[in-house]
Order: sequence, then C-alpha cells, then structure tokens
Amino acid sequence: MFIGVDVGGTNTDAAIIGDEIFTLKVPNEEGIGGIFRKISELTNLKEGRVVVSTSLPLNLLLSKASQYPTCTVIIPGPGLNYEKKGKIISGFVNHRGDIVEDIDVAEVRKIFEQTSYHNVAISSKFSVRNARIEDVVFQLAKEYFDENVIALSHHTGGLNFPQRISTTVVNAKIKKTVFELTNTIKEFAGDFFYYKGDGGIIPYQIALHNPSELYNSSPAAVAIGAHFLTREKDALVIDIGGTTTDFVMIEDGKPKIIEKVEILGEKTLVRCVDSFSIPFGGDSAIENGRLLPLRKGKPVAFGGDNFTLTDVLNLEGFEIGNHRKSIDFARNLNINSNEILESFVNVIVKGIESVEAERIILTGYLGKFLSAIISKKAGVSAIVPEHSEAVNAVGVAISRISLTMYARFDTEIGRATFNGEVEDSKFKQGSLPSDEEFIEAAKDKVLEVARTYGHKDEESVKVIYFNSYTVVRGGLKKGKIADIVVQIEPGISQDVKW
Amino acid sequence: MVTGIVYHEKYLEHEQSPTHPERKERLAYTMDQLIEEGIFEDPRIILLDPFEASIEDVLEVHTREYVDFLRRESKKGGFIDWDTNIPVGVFEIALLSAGGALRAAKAVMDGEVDNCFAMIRPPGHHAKPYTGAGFCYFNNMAIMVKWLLKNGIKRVMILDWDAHHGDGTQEIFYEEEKVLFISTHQMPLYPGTGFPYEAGTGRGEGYTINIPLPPGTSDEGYMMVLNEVIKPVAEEFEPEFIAVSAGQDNHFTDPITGLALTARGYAEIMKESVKLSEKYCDGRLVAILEGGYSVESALPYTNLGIIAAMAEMDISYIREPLNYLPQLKWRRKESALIKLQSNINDVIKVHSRYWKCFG
Repeated sequence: MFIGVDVGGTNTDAAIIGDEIFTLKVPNEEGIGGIFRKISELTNLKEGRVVVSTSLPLNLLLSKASQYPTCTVIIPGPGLNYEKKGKIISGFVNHRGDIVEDIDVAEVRKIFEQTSYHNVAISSKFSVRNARIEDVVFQLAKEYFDENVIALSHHTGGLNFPQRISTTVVNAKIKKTVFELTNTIKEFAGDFFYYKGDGGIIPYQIALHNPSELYNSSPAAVAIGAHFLTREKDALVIDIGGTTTDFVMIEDGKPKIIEKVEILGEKTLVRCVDSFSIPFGGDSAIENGRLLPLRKGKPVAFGGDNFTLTDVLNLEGFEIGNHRKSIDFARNLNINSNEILESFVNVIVKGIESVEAERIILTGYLGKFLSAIISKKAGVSAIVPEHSEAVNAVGVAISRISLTMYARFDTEIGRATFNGEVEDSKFKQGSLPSDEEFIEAAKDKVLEVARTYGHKDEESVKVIYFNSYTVVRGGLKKGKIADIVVQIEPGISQDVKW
Repeated sequence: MVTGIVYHEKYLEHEQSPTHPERKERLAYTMDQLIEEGIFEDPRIILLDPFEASIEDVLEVHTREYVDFLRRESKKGGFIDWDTNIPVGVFEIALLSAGGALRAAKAVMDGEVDNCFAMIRPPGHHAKPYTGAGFCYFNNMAIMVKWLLKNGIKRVMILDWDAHHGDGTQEIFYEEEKVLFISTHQMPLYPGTGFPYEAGTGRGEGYTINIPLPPGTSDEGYMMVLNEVIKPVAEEFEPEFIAVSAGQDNHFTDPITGLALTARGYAEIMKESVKLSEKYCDGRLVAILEGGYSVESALPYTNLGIIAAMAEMDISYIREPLNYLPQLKWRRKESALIKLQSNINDVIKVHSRYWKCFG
C-alpha cells in the first residue's frame, strides 16, 4: 500500500494506492494530527509506505524568517572574506579534506554564550570533504542549544561554500518545525518518507539533516502525479488549488528542475521543480465584484461565509459543493459572474502562453470544471486525469527514493568520504583504481544507503559528476583522487503498478 | 568591476607525461578551491569559453615551418627538448590555449568584462618564433599582444612574473617599441637569460627590462621592484593595455624554484597591477597563466588571490594554511633583499639611458 499526503495551503490531500486509487481531502484546520487520524480510519498507516509533502508550512515559516534569528558560525580558513555572512572562527579543512588548522574552543563558546539566537547554522569550508570540524562545533553548540535547532553544512550537498552557508541557515530556521512535524507523523505512521522539491522521496531521518530539500514539493508532486495518471510526457500541468494556481512543465515524463534556488534572498543548494504560481484559486475572495488574490475563508458552497471563485462557478451553472447556497448568497450581491470567471481564465491563459505550452493537464478541485473553457480560450488540448482533485497526493504516494551522494576517494591517504562522513576506503592506500572502479564504488555506496530504507531498483543510479586525477610526488604516482556525485534519480517507484 | 575567467575542461586534458611537473592536475586543486569559494557564481565573475586561435593569428608570432612541424608531430607524438614532449593531440590544445588568451583580450576590448584571467594550459612564455621550449608550444602572450597591436592598441606593457625568465616573449618583442616587456625572474634558473643588460635592440632598445631576483625573494622584494622600477616606468610609458604573464612558480612552496612569494603577496601585486591598469588603460588588463608547479599547496590560493584582486574582492583573508608557514620561514631570505637592491640598481643604471624616471 502506498500512501501519499500533501499538505497544501488550504487542504490536505491524501491518496491511498493499492489495487485501486482512493483519495480524500481534509481541511487543514483539523491539524496534522486530525488529518492523520482521518487517514488511519481508512487504512493501516504502519503497514503501508507513507510519504508526506509539506512544503507549505516551511514556506510560511520562511516568510517570517526574521522572527527566527540564526547564529551563523563560519569556519572559512584562507580564501575570500565571509565576515558579512556570519561569525568567523578559526579552523580549516583544506581541499584535500585534511584538518590543517584547529578550532579555538574558547572562541566558539564565547559566541554561543550570547543567547539571543533561535537557531544555529555551522558551516566549515570543504566540510563535504571532511565534516569533523563541523561535528566538533556541533558538540559545543549542543551545550547551549537544543540539538533540533542546529544545522550543519555538510548535509546540504556539494562544493560551494557561500551556497552551503545560506542553505544551512535555511535548514537551521526550519529544522525545529520539521522535527516536530516528524514526531507527530511518526506517532501515526511509524517510519515514513518526505517528498522533495525535485520529485523524489527521502527517509525522514535524512530530511531532518537537510529539511530545505522539502522546499516547493507540492508542484513537484502534481507534476509526477499528472504524468502517472495521464501517461503524458510533455505537457504543462496546471493545478488549481484553494489559494493559488501552480504551473509546472513536464518534459519527457519528468518535471523541469531548477538548481540553486534563491531563498531568503540568497542562492542555495536547493533544487526543485521549475514552477510558477498565480495568487488565485478556488477559495480566492470576491469583493466589490472583483476577484482578490487572497483567501478569507471557505467558499459558501462548502459551508463558509465568504463568496469565492468557486461560488462564481456555481453562478455560471456548475454544481460544485452545495451550489444552491452560492446562488442564494449571491442574490443580494451585484456580481457579474461571467466577467469574474473570464478574468481568472485570462490569467491562466497568459500563464499557458508564457511557456508556449501545446497541451495542458488540469488538476486541482476546479480543474475538471474549467478544462473546457481554458482549453478553448488558450487554443490548446486539455486533459483532466482521474482523481484530478488529488493528483498531488497520488504523485507523493508513487514516487521512489531519490538520494544524492557526494563521494570522494583519495587513495594516497586511503580515505573515502561520503557526504562529508569520512570512512576507510575500500581501495588500498597508494592504489591506482580505474575510473570505472571509482564509479562502481560510489554507486554501490548510494545503493547500500538506499536499500536500508527499502529502495529496490538496481539500475537507476546516475553519475552526475565525475573527475579523477593522479597524485604525483617526487615524480612518482602516489595515489588517485576521484570526486563523484551519484544520484538515484527521482521517478516512479518500480513497485507501483501502472 | 567584472572579471572574466577563460577556462575550458580541455585544458585539463593536456599531459606531457603523468609525472611531468606541468601535468593535468595542475588546475584540478585550483578548480576545487574556486568552486568551493563560489567564484563561478559570483556576479563579479564571468566564465568565458575559449576558442581555438586561428593559424593566421599564430603565424603573426611563429614561423610556418614550426607550426607545420608541431601539427605533424602532434599526430603521432614527438619531442622538442628534454622538458618538452609533443604528446599526441597537443596541437589542438595549444591552439585552444592561445585562443584562450585571445578570447580574454577580445572580451576586454569589447567591454564584455573589465579585465580577464586566462586560466589556460599549456603555458607559452618560453616558446620562440621557431620552436617550443620549457613546457611551452605557442607563445600565448605574444599571440595575444600581436592581436592587440593589430586591433588599435598602441602600447602594451607586459609584466612577466613567472619565476623563469620569459625568454620567448622577450625574443619576439626585442625590437619592438610598442611593447614594453618587463620580467622579474629568479636568477640563476632556467633558461639562464634575463640579465639587466638585455634591454632590447633597434627600435626596441630600452623596451625590455629584466629584473633578476635572488632566490629567497619575498613579498617585500616584489613590492620593492614594483615601486622602484615598474610603477615609474609605467607612468612614463603610459600603456594602453597591461598583460601579465602570471606564472605562479614564485610561490614559496614551488618544488622547482627558490623564490618566496606568498598567496597574499601575489594578490597584492595583482591589486597594484589593476590599479596601474585603471590609471593608464581604463582598466584593460589580461593575466595569463604560465608556470606554477606547487599544484596542491600554492595554486589553489594564488589563483584565488589573483582572481580576487582582479575582481576587486576583499583579499584580506587570502593566505596559505598555517601549516605551510615553516616552509616560508625557511625559503624566505633576508639577504635576498640586499642582493635584490643591487640588481635593481643595475637595472636602473642600464635603463637610465632610456627612461627619464631613472635619470
């Protein structure tokens, strides 16, 4: 059983996929606990594979980032000046991953003794080659802060110190929220996975180290779900939600990905689907005869007392929710429903034209009602998949584990490093392995980690980066260095029947 | 300030032999450092792709016989001298290296960038019109300078800071008054030329300035040369373009030389060069990588220092890790300053005939 849960801006969608697909929608006001209680009434969560997409709470948190001041500790050693990014302390890991300058414990303590901070981000240069210095500072930080508000840069990805710093700051700010969310979900679901912004899933244990990976995960889920349900390989997916409408392109069956996303005004190492949104959805309020880019509450048709875009559709002859209530409510209002609907459709059409899409997939709870109008107006073919109101949750349920591994082998010193964690290398000190042997070793490692979390696919490891060179001393070859980035790509789990 | 960096992965492919000092991983550690510092994503930096130099541009410097020889030998592999093999395929990479220098010059001339660092291999400053030598095949610097002279620049000042004398570049412009060639280099050392009395000939008399450096010359010595020779001459020559042969084998960890420049010192002299370029040439400056064989200890920090200084970034944190400092203490010689002062006096004596500033 595959269970996908996507916490959106207004509602939470869930999909339970076995031989059949069952979906449900729960208003967010019931809280995460309420949502999971509802789902567990339908299925035994602990027997299925549970995946949760939660980008929205993180996005909301980031919009209030200044309320969560971060103590940014930077261990740059020689190089450029990082004083503007945080508090510089001594210590240095060089490009080989050797600790060549030690930290000054008293200096570190002095920083942590200032208690005005909410969270801590610790970043050492070349920590992905050796995270030891970060770990030492982490141990000291724990004496002053809760472990769940401390983020370390070696968990965030590859080389690029300024971007590792900014990603670590994001992680530090959101880590506690994700931690608490994780504990709540674990109570219902046991071990589970989080959905990433690039469409893959990761075990919660890994997400807790690098929670920024969850950024923008809902549009990714919609794209994967739309591809799964329609088999369409190239199309623009338009997800009309409660608060926003999201647009995501799928190309050759995969959502288009952007790297190095800017968050809080800084470039980060976050990668996620390339999506854009308009601030209008089914719950967008209508006031003085105009569609407003904000949600004031539930539509009248769903028991609320705010007239919304959904209610406008009911005036136009659709039968969404309790459509009579919408009509009754509108009697005393002077509403030109046709004009409002047209203004909304025009914004959607502009979005379609901006990416020159020829085919669209409409999802979200208004998707099926608006497909004919949008398709006609934009002059493109439109598809509305089954379960169109919970495509996002379907996407969440059916995706496979996706892990990225930054591996480095240095046979001169007999060291292997995987995402900053130093291990003894399987290659003998002084040996000169071939490039193929290095690549195999990196692939084996990422699969070994993935298998511990239930990954079964054997053929899906992709080499994203490879570089190797010989270490020569005194005219003699003393070893080889190889840097490899391997990734189990996001995609649809092989265990899902489709 | 926007600084261009010309670089291509193909520059890592060239290798004379796996254990040759000028081998492919020369830039591998540097690239690690630059990527980790986020250099290639800094708004002050633009990464530029090189192109292969045209044979026409190469022939402005080298003889057709040599170009044909190199092309032919490069197909099967060959030999120029004890230091300089001809590995298969080097002809194309040498063209890409020379083209990298041209790309840098064009980017500056077109205003695409303010200045530019051509991080290219193989190096070029020992290459003469009729032969390669000392790890060099085509003289990238000379090919670029000839191109600049053909494209409207009237006076170019070449600062060759490689630890080895830039004998190839000197020979090419020895009779040229539009090119002021200034070289600081360790003496004695390969190729054995570069005495103060080598001062140019014919129309070029006085436009070659050689300042030999004793082993152990440190940052202080380089600043002395800059203040006492280079800056006064630059003021008088009023270059329209400054071209730096930015060899980095003068670093105190270099295994085949004996100088004692630090990464910070390197950044400081580049900063001074940038200031000169702003004063006389509207900032037009290109630095070209030449030698530098301390691939792991020096190059990551010196290359970063050069780029940071060119892009007017803060260089106050540019240094080597502290564990190298004992080596600096050993390499740096106070006595070198006394010998250097005497060398500078010799240079001034030779050149007082040509330059009012030394009169």
